Amino acid sequence: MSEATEKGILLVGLPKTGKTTFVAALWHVLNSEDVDDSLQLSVLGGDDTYLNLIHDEWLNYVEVDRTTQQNEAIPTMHLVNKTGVLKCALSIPDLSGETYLRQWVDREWSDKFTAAAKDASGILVFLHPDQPADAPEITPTMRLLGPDVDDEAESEDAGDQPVWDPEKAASIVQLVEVLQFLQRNLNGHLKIAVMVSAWDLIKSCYATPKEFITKSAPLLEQFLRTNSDSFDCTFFGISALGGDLKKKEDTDRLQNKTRCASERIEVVPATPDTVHDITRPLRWALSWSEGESA
Amino acid sequence: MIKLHQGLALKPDGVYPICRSGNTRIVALMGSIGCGKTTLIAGIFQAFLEGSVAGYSFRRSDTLVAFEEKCFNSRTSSKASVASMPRTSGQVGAEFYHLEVMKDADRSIHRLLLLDLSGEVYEGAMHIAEDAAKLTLLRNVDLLVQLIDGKQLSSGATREKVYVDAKRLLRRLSEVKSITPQTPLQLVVSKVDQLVGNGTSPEALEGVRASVAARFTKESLMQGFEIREIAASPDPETTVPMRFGVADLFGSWLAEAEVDPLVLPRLKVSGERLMHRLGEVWLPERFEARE
Repeated sequence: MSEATEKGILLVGLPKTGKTTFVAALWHVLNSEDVDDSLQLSVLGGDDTYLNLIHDEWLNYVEVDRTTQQNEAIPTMHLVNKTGVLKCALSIPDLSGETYLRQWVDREWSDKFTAAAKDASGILVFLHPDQPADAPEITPTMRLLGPDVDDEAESEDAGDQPVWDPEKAASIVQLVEVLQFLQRNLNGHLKIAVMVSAWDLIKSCYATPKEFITKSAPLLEQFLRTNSDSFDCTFFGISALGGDLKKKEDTDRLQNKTRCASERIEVVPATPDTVHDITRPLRWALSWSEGESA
Repeated sequence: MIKLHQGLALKPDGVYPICRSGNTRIVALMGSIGCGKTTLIAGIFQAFLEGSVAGYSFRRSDTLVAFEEKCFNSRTSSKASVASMPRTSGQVGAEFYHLEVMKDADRSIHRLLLLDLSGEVYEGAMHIAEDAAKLTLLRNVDLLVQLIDGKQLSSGATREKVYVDAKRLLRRLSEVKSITPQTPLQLVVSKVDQLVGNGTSPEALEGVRASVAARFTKESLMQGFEIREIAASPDPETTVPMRFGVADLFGSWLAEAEVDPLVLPRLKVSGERLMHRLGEVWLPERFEARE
């Protein structure tokens, strides 16, 4: 067995965009060997406590607890293809969404993040449909709600000027700034896979994940399209939980109508053979072609 | 630890790296306090959050925090009950807002720097020649955009002062040579919804344009003079669309850049010397032979 190449993948996304759930489902697929042609794990890494914790939550149909800046240790994953050939030692710093929020507010990269970013061979950028990318304006909202709404509040607030708070900036602008930081501080062409989390919630409304981004996050779509000299970009829809775990019919379906836990996962675009293979975005970001892992 | 760019509005000494990249237009927004300069800056950026603007797509900005701060008071996230704009303080001095965009049709890249100065500064310049003379950075801009408050034009009580102030500012800046006759001038009637209500038909706007033009006959001789109308943040009680006229205005700023002809200086040299220099080559468009 030849020595593995060191590869890093950076997970980028503001809080509650599905990064941790993705890692939990990925850890399952790598371990379970349920999915034909997916990457697999050759040996366990060092301390898997955190990965096993979020994996247990995922297996128990519990919404996976989001990562805080204190609990994000993920060991290196040694990945093999289906023939057992070792392809890489993959590190995924499951950095919390707060990490990126702090970058927007504090305008600095920590040493830890700098190291992770400079080691990254590819970037997965997460957006969640429940996290509004737009920034609603007062005037259109007032027009929508009608003339008599909030008259009382208006009279109370009339003299008060809002106080600017950068944490309340439009989340899509914060995300674009995070990508500008990466563009400016990393050398070379970056591979970016945009991951639309909870795809199952919106797939009836959008033909493709790219259509969702174009319509719901136009600034990001423009930014990625106009920076093709810096970024090689693609779009995935990811359903890592498999459904809305608050809905009984969804949990019933997941528990009783799937042959194995990996079938909860849906990754689009895909063929019927690859729809559960959550390692595909990794392969793309690492420049490994489909069905091949190096 | 790596310090990242601040994302704030740029000071004059911070724009050089952007200008050095080439194809950069500097547009100065001028006008009295409350005429709508900040609203226009916010409106342009807010428009990009909704998609391409006038056939141009967002590519990057070094001033995202500054744009967001300008937009904040008009957002529901501010918890304000009515949209407002933070006033630019006279203490701040000249600041630039940066946008780099790509033209969708041909993928050409364009850089725009919006020069924002407080209305207080312009009001000082209207009255005091020394203050006007300090605005030398206006000499280097590619386009002057003088905003005229449409709300104040709508009332006989304030209309005349709006015209007088705008003309006085242009005259003063011109006299102290802070602006040159060669710099293109746009007059932009802001808050046009307050002037024409919901009636933003081409005919109504043509009427606005004609009445404003009649008051600026002398200034209309300046290069590239034109009049436009916008309502960047219309009154909620009207049905005028958000950012009315803003996309067209933005597009006009960049379209100007595309049609700028290459102007070569006309040199006066003697015919004999000219032949000596050029040999058999003759460039009659550029050179005027002198006896």
